[in-house]
Formats: sequence, C-alpha cells, structure tokens
Amino acid sequence: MPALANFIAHRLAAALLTLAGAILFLFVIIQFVPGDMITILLGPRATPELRADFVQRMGLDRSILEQVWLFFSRAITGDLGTDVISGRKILDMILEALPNTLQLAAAGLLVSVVLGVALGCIAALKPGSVLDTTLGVTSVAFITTPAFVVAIFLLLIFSIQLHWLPVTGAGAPDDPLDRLSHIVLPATALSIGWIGYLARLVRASLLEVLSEQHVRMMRAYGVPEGRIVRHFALRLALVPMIAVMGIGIGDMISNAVFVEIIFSRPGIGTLIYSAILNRNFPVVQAGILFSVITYITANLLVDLLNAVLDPRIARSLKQAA
Amino acid sequence: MESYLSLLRDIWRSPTGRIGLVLVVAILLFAIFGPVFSVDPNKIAVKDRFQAPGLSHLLGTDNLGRDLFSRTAQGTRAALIISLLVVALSLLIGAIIGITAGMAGGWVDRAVIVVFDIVNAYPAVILAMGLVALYGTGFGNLLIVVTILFIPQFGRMARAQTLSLRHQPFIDAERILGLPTRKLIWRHFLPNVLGPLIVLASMNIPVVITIEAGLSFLGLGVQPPQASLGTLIKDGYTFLNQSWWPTIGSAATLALATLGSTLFGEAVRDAADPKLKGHGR
Amino acid sequence: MSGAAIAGLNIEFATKGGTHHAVRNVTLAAGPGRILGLVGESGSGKSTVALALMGLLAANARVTAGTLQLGADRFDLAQPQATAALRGRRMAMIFQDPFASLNPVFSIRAHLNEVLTRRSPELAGDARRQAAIDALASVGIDRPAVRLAQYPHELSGGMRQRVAIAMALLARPDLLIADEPTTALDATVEAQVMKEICGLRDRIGCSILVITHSLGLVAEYCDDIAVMYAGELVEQGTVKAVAANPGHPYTRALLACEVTIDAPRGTDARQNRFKMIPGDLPDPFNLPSGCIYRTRCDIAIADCARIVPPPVVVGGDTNHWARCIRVGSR
Repeated sequence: MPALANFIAHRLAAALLTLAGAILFLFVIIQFVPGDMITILLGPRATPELRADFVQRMGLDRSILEQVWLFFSRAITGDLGTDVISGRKILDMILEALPNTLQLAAAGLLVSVVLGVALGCIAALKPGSVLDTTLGVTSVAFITTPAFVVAIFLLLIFSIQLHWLPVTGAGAPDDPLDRLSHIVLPATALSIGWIGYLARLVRASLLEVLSEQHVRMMRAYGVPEGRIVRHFALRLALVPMIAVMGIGIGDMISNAVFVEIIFSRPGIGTLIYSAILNRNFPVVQAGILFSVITYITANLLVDLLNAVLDPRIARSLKQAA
Repeated sequence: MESYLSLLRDIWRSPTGRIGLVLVVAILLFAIFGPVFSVDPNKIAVKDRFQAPGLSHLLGTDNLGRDLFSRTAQGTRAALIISLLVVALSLLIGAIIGITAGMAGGWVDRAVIVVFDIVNAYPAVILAMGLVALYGTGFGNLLIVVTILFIPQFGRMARAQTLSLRHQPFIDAERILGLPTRKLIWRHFLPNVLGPLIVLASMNIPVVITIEAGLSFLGLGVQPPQASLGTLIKDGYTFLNQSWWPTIGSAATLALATLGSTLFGEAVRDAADPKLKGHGR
Repeated sequence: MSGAAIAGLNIEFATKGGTHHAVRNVTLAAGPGRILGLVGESGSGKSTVALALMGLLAANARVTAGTLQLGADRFDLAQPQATAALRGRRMAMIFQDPFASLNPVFSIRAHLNEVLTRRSPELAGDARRQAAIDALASVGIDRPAVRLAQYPHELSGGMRQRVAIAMALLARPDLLIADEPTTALDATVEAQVMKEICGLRDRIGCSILVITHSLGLVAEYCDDIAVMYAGELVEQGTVKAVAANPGHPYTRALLACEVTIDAPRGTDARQNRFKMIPGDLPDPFNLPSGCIYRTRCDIAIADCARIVPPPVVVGGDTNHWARCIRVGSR
C-alpha cells in the first residue's frame, strides 16, 4: 500500500525532527543555568582534572555551534560519558536500567488495555445496568487519584499489612515468577488511572458505533449480534482509543518514575532521581534523553498502529500531499 | 454576573457536578479556614508522635508530633495557591503567545508550534525533574517549571481560536471600518479566546495539583518546613512501617481535591458547551 | 417469487408522553416483480413500517399486530424475532444515507463477503471473489476488482449506494426495501441509482418497496403507489390510476402541490405561490375521531367524525382504493 508507506516515511521523519529538537532544547536549557555551569553539572565532586576534561569534551572553549554539534553527535552515537561516582560508562548504566522500566510500562499498558477495553465493552452492552453505573462512578475515582497515591496505598495494604506481595525491588533476574510477583503491584498502580479512562472511552465509543447505520445494515443482512459487536463494531470503536494512547504514554512514563521510586524498583526513574539527589547531572541528562527517545518512539508506534487500523488516516496525508 | 450564576446553576443540576462543587467548596473552606482554627502546624512534640485521630488532634500527629490537621490544611492551601497561580500564569502567557502566533502567521507561527511540540515531546515529570535539577528547588522555581509545562496547551488553543476567528467576516468588517489591531485584539479576539481557555484551565487544575504534589513528594517541589500535600505524603511514606495516619490524611485530601476539581472542571466544560444547551432550559 | 403482502400492521411506541400508536392497521401489497412506492410526509410512519418488517425497530417500539405474507409463507410480526431468519436471505434493505451505510474500517470486499457467507455458503475462495466482482460490475461500478479492495471513504456517495444495491443483489431476496435510497444524492445520481434498483427487479424478480417523500420519484420509477398519512394508509393503487384519478383528498392535495416545470405562471407574483396543505399533523396522543385527515380536509362533512372510513374502490378499478367516504366528490 503506497499510501501507508508514504505515511510511515512522513511520520518517521517528523519523529526524528522532534527528537533533534528535543536534544537541542536540552542543550539550550543547560546554557542558561545561573552560576557556574560546570559546578552545577558535575556537582561537588568536580576536581580540576575532571573540570578540564569536561571542558574539553563539551568543547566549552569553542564556539557555540561546535558545542551544539558535539552535543548532538555524542547523543546520537551514544557516547554519554563516564559516571564520576561509579566510574562506569553512563550508557551502560542506562541500558541496565532501561529494560526494567520498559517491562513495567509494558505491563501497565497491557493491564490497562485489557481491563479497560473489557470493562468498557461490558458497560456498553448493558447500558444503564448496575454494572454500568458502578463503573461510571468508580472510573472517575480511578482516573483522578494520582498514581503515586495509589501506589502508596497498594504498598501499604498488600505488602506491608497483608504481606501478600513483595515490598521492594524487581526480583531475581532469572526467576520469571519472582519477577512477576514484583511487577504486579507497580503495574496495577500504573494502570489504574488508565483503566478508568479507557473504560469510559470504549464505552462511549462502542455505544455510538452500535447506533450507527452501518451496524443496522449488518443486522438487516442477518449477521448475528455477537459477530456484529466483536468483529464489526469493536474494531471501529477502538480507533479513538488508539489515538488517545499516544499522549497517555507520556503520562505513563511520568508515573512510572513515581512507581519505581515508591516500590524501589531499579529503572530509569530511580536512576534519574538518585542522580538528582546526588547532584550528578550527566546521569540525569542521559536519563532524560532516553525517556524522550522512548516517548517519541512510543508515539510513533501508536501513530503507525492507528494508520493500520483506520484506513482513512493514511489517505488524509495523500490528499494533503 | 448572571451568566456566572446560571453556570453555577447548570453545574448544580448534574449529579457529578454537584459532588464536584461540594468537594471543591469543602476543600476551599478547609484550606482557607483550617489553619486559622487549628494549632501551630510546626509545633514539635516528639512525645506525641504517631497518634491516631482524636479530639486534640483531628487527623493525628506525624513523626515529630506535629498536628496533622493543621499541616494538612496548610498543605492544601499551598497546593491550591500553586495550582491557581500556575494555571493563571500559563493561561495568560499561553494566550499571549498563541494569539500572537495566530495573528502573525508565517515563520513566527511555525516557530511557536515547533517550540510547543518540543516541550510536549518530554514526559511532564521528566522535564520538570530535569529543570529542577539544573535550576534548583524552591517555590519560585517550582512555579516557573510547572507553568512551562502547561503553556503549550493554552498556547495551542489560543492559537487555534485566533486562527478560526481571523478569517471571520465580522473581523474583516471591523478592519475595513478602521479599527486598529490593538483594539481588535482587546475587544474581539480576547473575549472569544478566553472562554475556551478558562474551561481548559478549570480542567487542568487537578492535573497541576497532581504534578505539584508529585514533585513535592520527590522533594523537588515545595521545601520543608513549608508543607505541601506532596511533602506530607512523603513524610508519611517514610514512616509507613510505624504508622498509617500521616499518609492517610494527606493522601485522602489529595485524592478528594483532585476528584472534586475534576468533576467540577468537567461540569464547567459541559455547562459552557453551547451544543448541549437548548433542551429544557 | 410471489410478492409480499402486509396485513393489519399496528405499531406502538412507549414514550414519555404516553403510548404513541404510530402505525394503525396498515395493509399493503407489493406484487411479484413490481415496485411499490410508499409515500408520506415526515412522521407519517413509512420508515417505521419498513423497520418493523425487518425486525429492526427501536427498543421502545412494539408491533402489537400484523402479518407478513412472503410468497407462500406467513409470518406473525407481533412475535419478536419473526423475520430475523429472513434477513439477508429473503429480505434485504437499502438505507437512506449512503455515507453511513458502510463500516469505514472494512473494505468493500469484507462487506460483500458478509452477505455471501450467509446467503451462498457453498461459494468459497475464488468463486466467492468472482461472485462479488460480478455483483459490483452488474450495478455499474467500474474496475470492480480494484474497488473490491478499497475502503468506503474512497468511493463517492452514488458508488456507495451501488455497493449497497450489490449487497442486495447477492442476497437474492424476495422483498427488497429501499428506505429513501436517493434522498441524500443529487438528481443525476438519483437517476442512476434508481435505474440499478429497478435493474434488480429485472434480474432477480423480487418485489421492491421504495419508501420516499418524493412523488416525482414514485411517478417515474414505481408501478404501484401507497399513500400514508399520520400512521394510516389512506390510498393504494397503480401509479397510473392514482395519478389520473386520486381518490383521497390528501392524495389530491399532494398532487396539486407538485410544481411542474411547464406549469402556467401568472404575471402577478402572488399568483405563483406554492400550494400548501393548511393545518398540521394531528397530535399523536390526541387523534381525531373518525377519519384521521378530516381536520385538514377540504371536503370533510359531519359523518367524517363519526365513521372510520373503510377502503372504497375508486373508479371501478378493484386494485385502486382510497379510505374516504366521499370518494368521487370534490
């Protein structure tokens, strides 16, 4: 499908441009730091050798354009420097922490989509029922309670009081069951808000689709109601949900930071946080960079998924072009 | 004035709006009058630590024996002040930038959109953390950082409204009659743009409250001994093993504040939507 | 194919203001291979009749009585799922808005396949694909193989309506119901679409019930006409007979309202005003006694309030009747 390929190329280019802009933004905000930039960036551990090394690396003695170029090329090639505290390459630290965060985000996403869609469908198929009204009320509570509050309460109830699930950490790396038990509460905390939101969205969307003429048409041709709902209506009803997920992923990444810290899980969030507390800015910067890359990539994937599911989207680009 | 009263009436009519309004008023009263009627929130009395709610301490005491009712009230006050300030500032700045971009068009408009896109390319909390790491903590910085997060939203809406208004025939008519641009903006654009922006503002208040609480929880927002709901929750969290009470009071207040302002914000949005009006009024 | 007949159809709606007896005692016949045009104003109940036949009424509607005779089979429409098994097999429907008839995220092929799997399950794979292509070609869609893979938004309104007709073709029904099939289309496209609908009749010999508010459409394409007013059938007959000699005052007034392109025009603008039927539709919860039309009728007499008019033969043609006690008077 040439239209789809065209669309993919456009979105990819847009994503790369946004990424470039984001990196540039990072550079810019560093420039305006009040006070001695190097002290702030390196923290209290800045020995004269480190300072000289830093100046040379970042090209602080050279022109602004060269500095921008150095910044960019370093970011793209993955040369994020060496951590002054641990002596490790910062890139390694990130790559070690990233899978944990991605697993958490994926788990949260999965739970919220599965439960949100399921609850939304059930509510839409029996509008006005007890289940529907209950869902309507509780979904608001789900949506509005901040994720870190939910996380703390879950921790309190299930870990500390009931001892059902472990309190901290991500679990032993090679024991999938252990890892699973460690991810349950954090993923739940992360997904609660989304479950409520998606349930409401899917409910409204499905109700609307079921009242549209093409559904009537299918009924007029004798298609069984079950097939109409599962096959024809659901696919159309889920389209607005995909569109909304892109923005939601940013929220999920933000909330993942809190959840990681509260549950003491290793991950990008805890990495950035402890680096801030230790005034270790190079690590903070690297963490932010990776968060942005993750967010932009996730958005891109969501857009592409959207285009695949809804054939009208690729067309709008074709018309504009 | 009467349009505001009728707005309140509409909000009262919907059941969720009613709950939202009640909660918002309750929280406001708590924030405004709570600190007045309670003991000194900073009074340390270590022998009284971790008391459950009782007559002398309505919400119990924290790890240093400080009264939680007054601290929570203070924290709520801080949360409300910050969120209202942030929303007001980002609305104002966003409106100015947005209208300018919409009116100017060309490269100015494109540049503004690009900047907005870049700010939005960062997950909110991540950007906030980065800015705080660089520029330091404190009330002022917190205000600036969170405002920056919200300017693009208001800016985009203001710009969209401006763009759609710009090409309306009545604007052309005013121009032909010789109305200077400055007056044009003041008399025509601003009122039309402000409406949806205020609705957006009311819907954003709970989000700001949550972000501020989150940042304070991380220690990156309001600094002790000043209380914010976030710092209170954090203190409670640190001592979770020893006592529930410090956490519960502040967390519940935060949840109620966000719930109430969300319901209220949605009711404002629904009441202001002209398409929903007309039946049975 | 031996035609469709509806007898004694009564439909009620449960509304906030009470029970609305929306369709009262409607008896219609669409002969085999004939096109019946069901005309009426908005709110006359014509679409409701169609939906009742298909079993697609809203949740607050109830068929209290009525039968459908399709060929040799009789169905009691008061039973909830009476005609459910007929859908897509012996009855098919074309809806009003072609832009809303097809699911935007499914291809044309998916839509046609859905009809084929139900109606002709013996066809599979290539044979099924070919049947779909043939159907599209026979309703005048160009490059049918290409169109099959396309999505609804890539087709114009007229084409989408043709796809709907192709679906009806594949269903090979005994009765096709077309609910205002061309209302959303412009005049030239209307002619093309109506041509295809009539083509269906030629191809599969079904009876067609066309629901419309346009007398012009009925005059041009239909064999028979039935006129509805406020939930009741007031006249039925062949188009020729009714046009030449309308038996019911309402039909007469409707025909008089038509503006023909070559009608004589007076020099004074006041002489060229549109004709209207004075008055309003009766209050559904407060229907007039006797004849439903008497409050707007120009020849109503005292008896009209006492008697519910039975069908009266008009002009000696037993196929042409009107429910008026003053048939033939002016």
